[in-house]
Amino acid sequence: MKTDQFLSELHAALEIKSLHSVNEKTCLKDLEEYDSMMILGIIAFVDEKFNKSLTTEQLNGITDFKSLMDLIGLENFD
Amino acid sequence: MGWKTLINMLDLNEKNILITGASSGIGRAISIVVGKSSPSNVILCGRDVRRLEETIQASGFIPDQAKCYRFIGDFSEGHTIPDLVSFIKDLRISLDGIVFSAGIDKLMPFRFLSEKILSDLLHINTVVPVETTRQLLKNNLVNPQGSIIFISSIMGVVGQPGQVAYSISKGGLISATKALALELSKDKIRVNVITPGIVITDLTKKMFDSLTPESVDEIRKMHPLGFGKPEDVANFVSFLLSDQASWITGSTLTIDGGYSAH
Repeated sequence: MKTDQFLSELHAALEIKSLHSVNEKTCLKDLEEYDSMMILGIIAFVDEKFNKSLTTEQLNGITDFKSLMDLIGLENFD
Repeated sequence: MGWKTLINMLDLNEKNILITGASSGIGRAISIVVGKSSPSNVILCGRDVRRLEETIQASGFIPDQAKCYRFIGDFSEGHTIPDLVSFIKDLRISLDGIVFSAGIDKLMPFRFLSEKILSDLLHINTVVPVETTRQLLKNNLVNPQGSIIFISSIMGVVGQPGQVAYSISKGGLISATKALALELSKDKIRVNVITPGIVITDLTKKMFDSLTPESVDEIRKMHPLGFGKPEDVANFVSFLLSDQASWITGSTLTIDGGYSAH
């Protein structure tokens, strides 16, 4: 999946309204919408798009969207 | 009131009781309380053999006073309900009390809720208890003046983000209780549903693991009396199984530490 496409689809899926768009350096925990529901949404999104199961514990350790992509595996991105 | 006095009030002497979800959580606590209340026969259903045995050990069943039967089965498998009914028929036991405590949860933002997740929750939490009840009644395995209890959830009454599927599945039991109570009243079979708040069990601990500490703390603050223990629900279930509750049917009984008082 292209990185731009991933970030755009994730931005829409998580209903992030505080920012028009996100990039690799956007820090998740700085987002207004960051809460438990967002974490669960990320887990569901990654499961749906990459067939990969992440845990809340793993997501608690990430900082920006780049670290999320590292967790998913950079081989999954163009 | 002392424990012994309470147990005397909740005497289940000579009653035959079926409990699903008996190997953990609220079902386990109910099994223990029922076991101490002098029933004749108890059938405990669970998926996990080891944990079911631990429940039986903790219940203190005295072999010459009460017989305890184990049914190992997974209600996600289609054959389990007919297998359970056959099991009870083979025992030549007719039930005076049934408690449906087996259930699952899946915290999921609504936008990501798939039809499969919704279907799975509806199957285990709603269809299984209702269909099991239907098959037991159809096979004349429930005695007149029996007591049927569905363990629902306060989430079936009020809402919370991430709980749409769970709320639908548990809310369905509340509606089923009212209709079934009226339909079975001619046989004096009582049907009631309990809606607990957050009770600390393995299921809720798993849910908490998927939340931030701030979210868990927020949920705790919504319970004026704090989170519940399985025994808080079990004691009331035992009362509903007893003859002391003979005039209670079609009722939704909330045990939630004040959660829904807001």
